[in-house]
Amino acid sequence: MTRLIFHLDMDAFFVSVERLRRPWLKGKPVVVGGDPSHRGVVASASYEARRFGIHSAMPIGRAKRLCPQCIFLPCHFDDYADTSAQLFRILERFTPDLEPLSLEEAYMDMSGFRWIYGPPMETAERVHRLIENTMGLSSSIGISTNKLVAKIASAIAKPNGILHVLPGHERDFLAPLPVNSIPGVGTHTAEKLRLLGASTVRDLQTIGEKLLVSAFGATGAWLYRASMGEDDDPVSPPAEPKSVGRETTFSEDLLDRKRVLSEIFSLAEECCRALRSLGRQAKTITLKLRYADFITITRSRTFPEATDLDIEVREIVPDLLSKAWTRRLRIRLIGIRFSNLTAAEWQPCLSFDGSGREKFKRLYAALDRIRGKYGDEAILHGSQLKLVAGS
Amino acid sequence: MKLKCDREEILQALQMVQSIVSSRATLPILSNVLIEAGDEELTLTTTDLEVGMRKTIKAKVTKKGAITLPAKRLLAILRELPVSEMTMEATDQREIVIKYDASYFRVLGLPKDDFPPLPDFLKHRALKTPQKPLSELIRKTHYAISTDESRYVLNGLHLIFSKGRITGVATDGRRLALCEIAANVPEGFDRGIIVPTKAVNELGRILSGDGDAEIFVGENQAAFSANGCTLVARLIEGHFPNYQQVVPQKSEHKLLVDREELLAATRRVALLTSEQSNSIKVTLKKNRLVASSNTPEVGEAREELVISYAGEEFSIAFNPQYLVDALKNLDDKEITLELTDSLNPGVVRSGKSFLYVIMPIRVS
Amino acid sequence: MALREIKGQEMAVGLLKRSFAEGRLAHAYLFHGPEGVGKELTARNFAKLLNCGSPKGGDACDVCESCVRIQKGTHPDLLWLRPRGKARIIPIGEPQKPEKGTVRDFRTSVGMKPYMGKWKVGIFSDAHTLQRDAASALLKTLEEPPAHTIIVLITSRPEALLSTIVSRCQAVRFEAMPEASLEKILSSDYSLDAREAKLLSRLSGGRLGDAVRALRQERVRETSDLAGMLAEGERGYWRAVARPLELMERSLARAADSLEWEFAEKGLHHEDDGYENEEIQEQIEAFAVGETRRRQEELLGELLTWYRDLLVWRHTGTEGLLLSAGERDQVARAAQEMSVARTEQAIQRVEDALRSLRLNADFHTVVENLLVQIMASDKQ
Repeated sequence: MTRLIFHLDMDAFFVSVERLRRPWLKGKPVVVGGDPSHRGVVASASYEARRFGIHSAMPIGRAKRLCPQCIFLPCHFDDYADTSAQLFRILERFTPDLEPLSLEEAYMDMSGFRWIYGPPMETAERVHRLIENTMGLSSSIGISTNKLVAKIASAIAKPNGILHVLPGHERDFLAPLPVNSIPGVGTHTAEKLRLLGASTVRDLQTIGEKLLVSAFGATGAWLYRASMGEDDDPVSPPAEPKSVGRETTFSEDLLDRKRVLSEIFSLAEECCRALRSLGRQAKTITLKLRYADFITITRSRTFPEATDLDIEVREIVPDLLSKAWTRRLRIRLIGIRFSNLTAAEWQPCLSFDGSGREKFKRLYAALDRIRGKYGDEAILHGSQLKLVAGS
Repeated sequence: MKLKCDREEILQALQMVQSIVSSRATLPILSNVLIEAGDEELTLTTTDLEVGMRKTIKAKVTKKGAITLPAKRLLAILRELPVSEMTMEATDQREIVIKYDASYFRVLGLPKDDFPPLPDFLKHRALKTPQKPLSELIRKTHYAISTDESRYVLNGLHLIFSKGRITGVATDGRRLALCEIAANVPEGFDRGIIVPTKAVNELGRILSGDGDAEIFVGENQAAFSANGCTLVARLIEGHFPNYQQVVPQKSEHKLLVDREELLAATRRVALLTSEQSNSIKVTLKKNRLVASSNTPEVGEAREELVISYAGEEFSIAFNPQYLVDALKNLDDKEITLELTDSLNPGVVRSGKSFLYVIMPIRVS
Repeated sequence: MALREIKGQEMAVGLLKRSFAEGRLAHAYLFHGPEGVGKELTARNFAKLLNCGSPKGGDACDVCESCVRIQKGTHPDLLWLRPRGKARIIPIGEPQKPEKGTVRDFRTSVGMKPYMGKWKVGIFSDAHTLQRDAASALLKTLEEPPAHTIIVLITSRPEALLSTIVSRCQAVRFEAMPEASLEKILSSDYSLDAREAKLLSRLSGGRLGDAVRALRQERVRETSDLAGMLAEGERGYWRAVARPLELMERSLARAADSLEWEFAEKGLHHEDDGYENEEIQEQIEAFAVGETRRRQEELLGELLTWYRDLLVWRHTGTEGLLLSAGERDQVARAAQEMSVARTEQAIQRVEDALRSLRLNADFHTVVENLLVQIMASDKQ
């Protein structure tokens, strides 16, 4: 059976979300990413900024040189995550076979829905319109018989467009495109292909499978099939998360226990928030610590009852750090991982100690909402204040 | 030791006490029953070190003495004896001869010295209370006792003796059952003990009829006497958690529900749950209580009960077994269901004396 | 017996008596030290002291009901766990209905108040054989011990225990006693003649338990036989190994036999549902496996001692420094026949063989290999 796959990609997602909150940014070159001192890389650039040659993953400093009048904003991941959740709630209405690629991008398997939704193009327009009307954001959609071609199609449709590659036309559609438009063909492969005399997908099609295999091995076979617009990778909804973790490498190795502890606290808080947004609780916490000499230590602890509450994690962390940090040596990396997650359905315990966990649950839910609105630093635990002031 | 006794009577007594004998005991002598012949009476005792059981019957004792015999084997012999009266005579410390008509059994046992002594509670003051309410208290609470050995304080029934009443509390940490009965607790008897599961089950077995039961409490053990049978229970160490803490102070919604209807609906809806998804949803709507289950790859079930409810619609999920356990062990026609929201514990009340708290299942 | 009668462990016994006298008992003790020096004996007698009805002079009376029951192993508050089954481990047990002798069952038992004594005493023989999850479960008990509970872990390999377990126990060290003291005990208490006593104390490396066990199994003669055969040099090697192996198998059969009797005496046979018999068979087999392994290691250990003596004799010529059971003349003669380099090589090889044996290699293969190597190097 011929499949019907949509690839939906939001246009300049982070920037667009920022613009929802600050309408005056409309029409101006905007870059999201990095920190106030302009280190880090571009996470998202508006189309106005892209005209100056700015693109994602470019160092902020360079972006600033390319376009000094550009407006640089820090990331507000919680906003993006919230908006993304809203987006996926819309997409879920159209199909259960939904594979998120990131906050702003997803494959949708629409096979067999023709009798419900009508022609593919109309369906895509409905999705597109619904996103625009309810969220005020623009998106692009590629439609094809497989994921590969749908993704390439949406890239071409950008911004704010829909492109349907009709069944049987995949090969012709790809032919004129440059080789690096195939997702997975990076600069390295493109360079090698150039040496073989291949710059467009058509060149790949004519070179043929045999030569590509002899030059690239198994990758060659894949390259050939991709060039022919063939891909049978199914749309697979995300697997259940097994753990939630965060780690950070310090800009300079640390010896100050208070600093390290406070870093762990903020990692742990991030994790707890991630757990809460997943609707999961963790039974086990693991602390990872890497000394300046690159020796890595991990220590785990099991909670009496699965938790997603910062306050319960904070009680355990100092002890865990003491257990792990036994050498008098600077630390270069710290990581926290929560595992042994509860199932979607689980039986909590009665609280005999009167700890009133339910109260904290409601408190954290409220905090999460505030942070989502005003950014991470809107609410900080006392121990983190000095750090922010000093940074 | 030499005595004459009624076969039926000793058989019944042995049947009573042998239930706690394990064939896989740590000490071989624990597979035996201690037989003691005293003044005109015969006492049978068994123990597995956790629970001890003792029953006394009448006998014509011509020579006092004691011996231990393999309980299961003696039981088999007594069952098969074709007579109503028999004599037992110890030939030495580890051998007994059972005689009837012209036939005999010579049974080898072990001397009584190695048998763990049951504490003597006669010097203690007794609490006398009718058997029936006590047995109800056990029936209404025992199922909530925890079987997880990692929290040993929960591995038993918490009995609290206070002025005018006995309170029984059992919990496995996820639900808690509490039952209170009126009792004439003597002054100075006030205390709380934790009786291990096995003893609670045995106690439920020996309580029958309308007579009184006697309760003795020692430092490490407690004894319960009823119908000529005494059960000695080793108590659990430590302090029972503060159960009052988990009883919600007040709940948003109070509903009167027909117990049997809710029980039947819960049982039916639970048929479509699975091990991975073992919860049923209770939804309150205007004048309706909807019990439902929906399990991927299994199916769904839905039952509606007419109730009186005018609040906002909301749902809460429970382990159906927890509901069934409580509902099936109650007697009242109607129970009160108290709920607040999907996170806070739910409460089942029956009359003034019974309270049941269940932690809802969290569904994400 | 009582603590005062334990020989050669003054330090350990003193520490335990003091902590009892001063009321500073630890929740858990770790008895560690070589095999056969009295750790289990001390544990049993410590349990007596803890629960004694009328202790005298800071030690158990050894006559009250509690002491007698502990001696006989029928005290309800004495919980003794040992490795079980073919795997020789202390298992965790089934979650809901744990068998007796498992850690889960133990946890249920110590969760209850004492039956008749003041203390529930949990003793774990060969604590290093605790199954991994059993060890974690026990750790929880050590972290939050129920009241009236004292746990004694016994091991010759403390390094094989979870460090978290070790850190929660008060360590009590047991040591092999000086050979001279052991010699004295052997001749006074076990009426050995001077030569036998000396030989045995040396063979057992100062471990009284081992010496007594050897005595019971007439091991003295066996090992001097071995030394004699070794002394014959090359021709003796094969016999040296074949003979003890044969002896070993025979004495194992005897030991299994007596074990069977021991169980029968304890009355385990009176149930005829077949289960117990199987369990006993399993235990006997497991015992035989464990015991065989121990003997195999000892045998190689003796070879090691022998070669070491050859070296010592070559370098010093002092009889007093010799450890093996061989006569001076035999050692002297053998030392003459073997160069220092070859002797050192042989030691190396025996050590390798011991290592493979500990990694569960087949004993016969290991020994054959070893002897072929040693003989090959002899011929060079």
